[in-house]
Amino acid sequence: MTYQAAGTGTADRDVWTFARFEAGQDFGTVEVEMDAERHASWERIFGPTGDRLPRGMLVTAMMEAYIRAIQPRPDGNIHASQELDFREGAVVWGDTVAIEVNCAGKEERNGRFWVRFGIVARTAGRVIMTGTIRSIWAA
Amino acid sequence: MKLRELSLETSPDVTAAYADLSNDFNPLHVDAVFAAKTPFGAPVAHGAMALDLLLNAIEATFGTSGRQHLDIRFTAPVKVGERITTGGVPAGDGWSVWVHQDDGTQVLKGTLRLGGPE
Repeated sequence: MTYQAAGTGTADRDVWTFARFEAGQDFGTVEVEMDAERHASWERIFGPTGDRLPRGMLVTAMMEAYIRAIQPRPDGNIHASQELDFREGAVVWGDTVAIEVNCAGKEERNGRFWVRFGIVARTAGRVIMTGTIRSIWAA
Repeated sequence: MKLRELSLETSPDVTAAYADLSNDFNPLHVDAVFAAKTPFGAPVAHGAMALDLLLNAIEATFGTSGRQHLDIRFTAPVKVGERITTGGVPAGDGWSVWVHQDDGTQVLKGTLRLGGPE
């Protein structure tokens, strides 16, 4: 996996709190290689698969990208809801998936810090999945 | 027609394996001491693990090709150790889908739409 630049210019050690998020922030692209180790890890949890990558593995990679791209973060964030749009076309084990992460918006509601993160996943330049992670940020 | 039912035991070992796979070591999932101090009171399984199980059921029912749009929310926490099972029925122009525990509690619910323009 490689990580290409978060686009905020803020010191890496600063914790990502709700106050720092802004709609349109680009957190860069995380590349996740669907290698044999990852394949074996998936099968230990969910059982055997064929050559084709399960769409759930794209979601798992999306979570990895979202977590790696926004660091450090407070403990206790909650993944509240999720929208996903899967496109035509196969992804297979061995492919590399590049996942862009951005801030789609934020809102304080009922004392809770809601943040929406936009996701675009590509393989070989082709969009295979888009999504929105809706999180309740802990601090 | 119904969505294929698939089940998963969210044991501590499975939860730890999912933390490794997703790189999500949020202490809510893997740290009993931390989780005990939260409103959950105990470690809860990753929501994405239930979502992945649902996507496996969708693939088992409809295959792996074609465009799919899924909008879900996590409606209850899954305490680590619970078994979760997928479900779904046609509703309107799509499907109502969910994941529930053995006691019937829905932990994830949402809508699935198949096809549509690129």
